[in-house]
Amino acid sequence: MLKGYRTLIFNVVALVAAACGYTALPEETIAQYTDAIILVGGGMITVGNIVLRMITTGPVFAGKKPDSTTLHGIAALALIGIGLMTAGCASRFGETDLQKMAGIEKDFTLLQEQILTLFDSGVLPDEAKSYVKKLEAAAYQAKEKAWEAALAGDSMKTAAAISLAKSAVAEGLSYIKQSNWLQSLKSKATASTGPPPFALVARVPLTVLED
Amino acid sequence: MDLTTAILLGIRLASAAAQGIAAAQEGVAFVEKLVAEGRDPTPEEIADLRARSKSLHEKIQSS
Repeated sequence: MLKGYRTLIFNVVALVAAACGYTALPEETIAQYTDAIILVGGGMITVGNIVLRMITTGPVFAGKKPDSTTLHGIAALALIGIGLMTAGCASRFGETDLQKMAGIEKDFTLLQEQILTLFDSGVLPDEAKSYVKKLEAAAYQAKEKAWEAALAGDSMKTAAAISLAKSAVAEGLSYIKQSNWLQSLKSKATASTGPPPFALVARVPLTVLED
Repeated sequence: MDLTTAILLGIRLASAAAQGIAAAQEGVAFVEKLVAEGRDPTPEEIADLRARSKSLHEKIQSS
């Protein structure tokens, strides 16, 4: 039914709905809930697109249905993407070093919970799992160092340690992006017109962490 | 992957996203409360936060 057009129709409908909501709601309401609207709306559109791409019989995968490894990989990346989209929020609001650290701690815990969900789902190949573990360990150690500096009241060291913690996560992510596991997924998924479905989610985390 | 599996996966992704959003907002609310009260987290709060990520860290590394 509607081969290959469902994704297009979904996106057009989502856009129209967003535009209607924007004009119908009072300005103060929009200003007040901007963050929530972007998060929930963006998340729903991402999930909708991923699901539609999975069930499509259109030419997204060059007419061939992808094998289950590809699908699991895409699902895993979607989970990571969703987790990282929502992380990196609380650390922006702190004013003092300790407040900032509390935010980073909250964001990091969230990331850890998403990683555990991902591990529990059993979709990750062992290779990818050990990369994710390395990334988590590096970020954890950097975060602990930042706490020590912040508690000692050394604001110079804290700033350095915080940026180290952030780059540890970013580095782990680029590891994942370059791993063979992902490359093989990519070559399967890009045998199609248009960007691979996970390009969107894979791009999100780094921009979040740069802040 | 048939339609039912895809829909189930979609629901699972959506619920993971919803949980993540709720937890992220809770984190933001916590920091905003600190800023509004003009204080740093207490040593007890800091210890709680670090103990939580430590136990999650151990769980991840041992899985």
